[in-house]
Amino acid sequence: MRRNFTPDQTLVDRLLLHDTDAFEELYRRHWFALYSYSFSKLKSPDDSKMIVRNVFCSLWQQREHLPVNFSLASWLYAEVRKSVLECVNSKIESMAEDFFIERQIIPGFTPKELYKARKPVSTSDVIEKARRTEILTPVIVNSGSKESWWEKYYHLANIKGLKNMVQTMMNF
Amino acid sequence: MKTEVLHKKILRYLDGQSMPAEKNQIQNWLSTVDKSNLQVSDEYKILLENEILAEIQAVTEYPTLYPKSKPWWEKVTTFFE
Repeated sequence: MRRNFTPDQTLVDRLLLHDTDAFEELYRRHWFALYSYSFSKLKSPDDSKMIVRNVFCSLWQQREHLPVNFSLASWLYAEVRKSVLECVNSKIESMAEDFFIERQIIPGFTPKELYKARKPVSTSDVIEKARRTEILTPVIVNSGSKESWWEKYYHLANIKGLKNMVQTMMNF
Repeated sequence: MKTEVLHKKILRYLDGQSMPAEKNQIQNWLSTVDKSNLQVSDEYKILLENEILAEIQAVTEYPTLYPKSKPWWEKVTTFFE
């Protein structure tokens, strides 16, 4: 896969020149974050797809009217949040997915769930997430079978250890 | 909370007429991170990416309106045709 390190702002500026490559690059950078966010809220692949499609269509259509210091990530996120709410609203209005609303959306409004939004993400959560996505799995598997010296002693490499080492050297 | 109450709250929020407490409630719901992350295989991700991009292209019609310029080697080879 070819990597493009051009900043978002430059790509957004190139949208004014109707640069479709820049648009596709922006899409490839951001689509999955938007898709997974809307999927986590709506639990519907079709709705999530529709939201991502509409947001990027709207970006292309508004490319000539974007402000100067335009932050693409914030704009995309704001648009997706708005679209998610509109989608929930239309589901309620159509009364087609009452069960979904009662089981998936309404429990999210309990004080306990809402409190989670104010809590910072803890390190254990990040490690657990990494474990679940199998980032750490190869390390765990290897450490069980063949333990290398750095795996054995890496937990000793902390500030206290370094301080002790420096003190020993100074005394020596 | 009942569905009707939620409906009214969302409508007020979308119209920009919600009370600060309601606004906080909805924004907190939007900010909560679901720990059960979406897990998709790389193949499915690529498939989905191309599928959505094709839909965007069909809606905006940008490939027709603004066709991509040919790469330099194709431009050069046209002189020898």
